[in-house]
Amino acid sequence: MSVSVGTPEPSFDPVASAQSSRRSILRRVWARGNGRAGLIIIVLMVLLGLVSLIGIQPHGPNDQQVFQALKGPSWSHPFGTDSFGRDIFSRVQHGIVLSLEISVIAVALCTVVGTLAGVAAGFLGGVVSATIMGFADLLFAIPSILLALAIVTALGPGTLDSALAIGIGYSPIFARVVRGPVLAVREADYVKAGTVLGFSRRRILFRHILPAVSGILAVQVTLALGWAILTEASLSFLGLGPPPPASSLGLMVSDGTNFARIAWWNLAFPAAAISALIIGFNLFGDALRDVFDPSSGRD
Amino acid sequence: MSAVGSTIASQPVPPSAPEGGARRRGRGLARWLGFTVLRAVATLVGVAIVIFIVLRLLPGNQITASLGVSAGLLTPAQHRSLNHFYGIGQPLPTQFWNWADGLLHGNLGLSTQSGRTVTSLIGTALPVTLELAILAMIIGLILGITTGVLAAAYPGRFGDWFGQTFALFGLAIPSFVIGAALVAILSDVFHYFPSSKAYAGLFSDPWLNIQQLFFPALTLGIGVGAAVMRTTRGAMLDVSRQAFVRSARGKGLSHYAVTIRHVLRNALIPITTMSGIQFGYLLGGTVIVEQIFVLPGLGRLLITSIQEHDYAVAQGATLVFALGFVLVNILTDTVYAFIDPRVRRA
Repeated sequence: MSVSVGTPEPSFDPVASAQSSRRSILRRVWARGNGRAGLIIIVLMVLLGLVSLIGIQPHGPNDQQVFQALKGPSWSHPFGTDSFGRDIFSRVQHGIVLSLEISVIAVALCTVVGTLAGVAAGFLGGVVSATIMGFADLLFAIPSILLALAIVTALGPGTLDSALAIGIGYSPIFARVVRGPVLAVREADYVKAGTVLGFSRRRILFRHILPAVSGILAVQVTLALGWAILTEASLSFLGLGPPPPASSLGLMVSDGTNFARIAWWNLAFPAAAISALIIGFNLFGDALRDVFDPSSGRD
Repeated sequence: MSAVGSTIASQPVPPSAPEGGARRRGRGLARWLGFTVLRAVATLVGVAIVIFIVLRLLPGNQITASLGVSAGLLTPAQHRSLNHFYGIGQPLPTQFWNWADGLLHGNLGLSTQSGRTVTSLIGTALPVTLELAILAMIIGLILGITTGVLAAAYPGRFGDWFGQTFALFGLAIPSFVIGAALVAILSDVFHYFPSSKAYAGLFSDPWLNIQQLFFPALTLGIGVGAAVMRTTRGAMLDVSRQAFVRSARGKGLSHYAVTIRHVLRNALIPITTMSGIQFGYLLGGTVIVEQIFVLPGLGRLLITSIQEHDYAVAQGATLVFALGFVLVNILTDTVYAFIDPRVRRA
């Protein structure tokens, strides 16, 4: 892997991590300050967005009240209004849903594609591994925002297109992250024992190897969500996200800069929403990593 | 980008250098370097092919991009001659071959929008982006290493709390938010927006140039600083648990001397790696920041060229970005191998 990026591999013990149950993992994450803060932020933000879907929001996100344009925060408009007199609180709620929707699809995509590629590379080795990892290197060499930029421009802006672009850009990271532990597990005694017992390749793969990498995958998925939210916001800031009037958070920040002096709330609240989402996922991901790999608890 | 920072990638490992003297070790290193360069070239060829294909997937072509809806008014004969002019009619492999052939001769093609050669366009834009990235890197290293050392020297105290808060927000607040806020505050509150003047080159007007680049560089530098801070703190805490640090303290050295001379010095390897990774991502980050601060760099050139279907320019710009990324990786790996003999022997 000559053209590569990455921190030195943490001493991750996939076998041990597979043995700890899900409930105890959550409890251990909750026991850490950063994990608890992250979880609370995520739950609050997700709730704030989701309740808008069942109609709990002050106004419609696209309702224009022209005489109320650029009004500061008040009881009827907690985050103020934008230049069209639309309620920013409601738009932020929708922006969170949109952002989560795109990020979850993107991360689901890269988790599936990247994990399959990584498992194939680690389990099969040889030419397959060389081809897959070579392709991952290649995708890595194109800065991910540029890759997403090119893909979105090619497919046209939209929800699914953004998700696809972000998902493709992040797949190689999953392939790399998964390949290492798979290589390690493949040589573990219990997998060798399975081979001796005559288990099929599929059984070994799905029953023994995949569960063993689930811990490191969980960490990566959480961190990837934060990263996907960031990239989605950047793309929509550049005008390559879902087109208006969709209330994409990045686009709202971009519009807000024009009125920053007379109406700071146009810029501040969408920006704060993006940052809060990312902080939440980063904190939770860090805590999760500490739980799975205590030796990496140094940062 | 924290998620990317946590990527687990196997470090390239040069072939083992046996203990048999400098000559053999030198040969081992040379072979390792040759291998690394070969892989880099292969990656770049792959990038060229991928970019070529992706750009051809874009809807529309150079004719619709330059004429807009009026393209519909063209007679078939005009259409044919324009097709011929832009080389659109040719099969894709031929187009690719023509481009690659030119590339090998240092000819990146002609911008169909401005009529200038792609080489000259990149030649004007690249120094801006490079200067921005280097300045951002310097700011990021200063911010990151100071806060990291402070945090590691006084774990659990105010310095640690401050550093960790900086890292948390630095990683989570997108560069476009920082940039937009900076632009808003500077121009609206202080009526200061040096980018409103024409871009000044480093050598023609150094003072204005630094003013124009400082805030964009700060915008990018905060994210870099946050990542570097976390690595610095983590690496220093690791080192300070080792026995030789205890001996140094037992010897009666001051806290300062131990922290800087012994701990920081031995923590430099992971910091170097992290800085290399961050520099690679800085190159991508310049795209957004150049857009916000209206800087005529490579990122802006790329976005404009994609919007205008100026294939040759977009291909050239992306290739330069990828080249930068690959070069930085080679450099980091090499530095890493030189600093830490264990990497060479592993």
